[in-house]
Amino acid sequence: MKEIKKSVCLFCSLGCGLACRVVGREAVAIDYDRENPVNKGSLCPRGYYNFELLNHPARLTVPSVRGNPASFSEAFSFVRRELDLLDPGAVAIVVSPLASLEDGGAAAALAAKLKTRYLCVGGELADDDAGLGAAWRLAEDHPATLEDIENSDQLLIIGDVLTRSPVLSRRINAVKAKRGKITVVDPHRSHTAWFADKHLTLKPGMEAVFAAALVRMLSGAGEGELSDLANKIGLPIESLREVAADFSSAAAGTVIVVPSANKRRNDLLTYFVRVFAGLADKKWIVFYGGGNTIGLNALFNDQQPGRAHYYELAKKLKQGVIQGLILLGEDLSDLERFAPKLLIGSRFFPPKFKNGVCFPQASHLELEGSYLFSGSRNSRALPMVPAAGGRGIAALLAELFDLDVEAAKKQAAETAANMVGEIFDLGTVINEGTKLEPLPDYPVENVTHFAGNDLAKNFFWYRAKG
Amino acid sequence: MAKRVYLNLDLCCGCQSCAAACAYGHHLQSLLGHAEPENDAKLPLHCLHCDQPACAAACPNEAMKKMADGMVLRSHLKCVGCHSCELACPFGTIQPDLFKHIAPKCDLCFDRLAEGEIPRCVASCTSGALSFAEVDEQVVDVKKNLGSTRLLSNYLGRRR
Repeated sequence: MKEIKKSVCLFCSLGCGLACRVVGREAVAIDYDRENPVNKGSLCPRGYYNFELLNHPARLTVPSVRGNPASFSEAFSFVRRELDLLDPGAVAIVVSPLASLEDGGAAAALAAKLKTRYLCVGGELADDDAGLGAAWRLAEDHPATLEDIENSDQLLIIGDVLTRSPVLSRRINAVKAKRGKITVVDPHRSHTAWFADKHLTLKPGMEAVFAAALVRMLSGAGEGELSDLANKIGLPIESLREVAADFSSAAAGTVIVVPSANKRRNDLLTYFVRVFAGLADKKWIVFYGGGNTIGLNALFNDQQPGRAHYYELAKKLKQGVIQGLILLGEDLSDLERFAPKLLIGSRFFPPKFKNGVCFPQASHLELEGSYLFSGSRNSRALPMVPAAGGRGIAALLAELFDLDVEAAKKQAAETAANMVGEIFDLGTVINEGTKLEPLPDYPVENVTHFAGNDLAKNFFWYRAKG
Repeated sequence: MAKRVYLNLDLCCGCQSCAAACAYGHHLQSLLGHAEPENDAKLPLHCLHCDQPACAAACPNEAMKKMADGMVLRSHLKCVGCHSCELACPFGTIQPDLFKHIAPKCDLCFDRLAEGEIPRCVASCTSGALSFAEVDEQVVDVKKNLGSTRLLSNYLGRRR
């Protein structure tokens, strides 16, 4: 007997609806959730990975200790023994942006128990960086919802949003259909640029300066300063003026920011875009690569003020300060080259690293949890099929570290309920340690959603494309 | 008249979710190719299910067959993977990739149509560029689409 079960897709922060035809324990085909207001049944290629993950033959189903299969109790005792030898403050926790808020709450409780500052959301480094910019306290700007994008007369898109979230093209087409103006700012002729009425090809890496120039333009800077900025950006000053004038005179407008792998631009870009949107009385939105990046960042900022972000973590790893790494659902096997003494992972697929412990993970389609997306919606995903040998992050941490997970989960759910609608006001003041410094030697270029991601590489669609 | 899949060039964002949906619905063989005009775009190439199918005429083993409802279908068992249909197709919709020695050929997801659903590629389209409509309606739309900014900007801009 076939049933149709619904969930959400977590591969980007749009939060599309997902439906599967399920027979018994197995998901047999993708169906289309036409009632979901976000995607109205459509699904991008990455959305289909969700389906393939459920029955993937290569999935990890038993823990592995130093590359050998082991039982859960053996793996637990190994971790406890090794962790006793380390300074708990030198243990870093990286949580996957695909984790639910309840799982994030458990990770925050673990960080509090270990008294470590190193607690961050994984996924793309660029996303964590943009999250820093989104965490500044500003009074006058307003985050946009997906409906605001659809209702805009002017869209200013910085970056290639359609490669990341193709399903958004429905909304961009709606703006086009009513003769709204779409300006795309991107050095490349990207997919998003096809939709542009005006495509500004600025010098690579100058997006933050571009946003700063718009701010200066609205706040009445002198001619000399503006032409200096325009020279740096590589665009004629007239086109900058046109963008600023068009955008501030429109009835409704939205700035869409896409964090990119461009080092150290995203927090400044997000910050300046927020100031610009506030000055022009328009809205702004950041499209993150990971489904629950917004929710987890807000939750961690709330529960662990003064936590270290990715850049600090990468720097401390390189210096050898961090001795243990706990990667919860995260896929950063590259970090092993910094040779921490202990690596604990929780993953869908067998790990590349050899000197640690890896637990099999249950996906969000097998568990229940709540998530926050770009539209600030707090969706609760329900399990589709029973878990195939894996465990959820919260359940794993509860048993491994003897945490009171129920209290943490409850606290996370309460925080999440308060976050809807005012999520962006929860931000903390930007971390003192995140001044403009060159990034430590870390292969940022590889951490885009396809290039460095084993999760995606394990699937048919990626393999077929070579 | 029969319903066919139609692409609006102006709306397509080239995300290839139609091809992914096709692959997941057809034993991981995508029956849907993509054209890359001048490497600028990726536009899906759907089978037109011609009235006088050249692919069926070229097939040495009668694997391609025009059905009573107008669909041109390929038999899994009869296809020998000889590429004749690929060479015969005037629209390039039959792609050269073979999967288990069978040529890819759009079947309009007849299993979904039987359930009263629409083809998978149309259901999964993220931008609303693909539609499944009567041929007559589509011809009207094609006339509307002649002033497509996408094509003009892509090609005229290049010639300049």
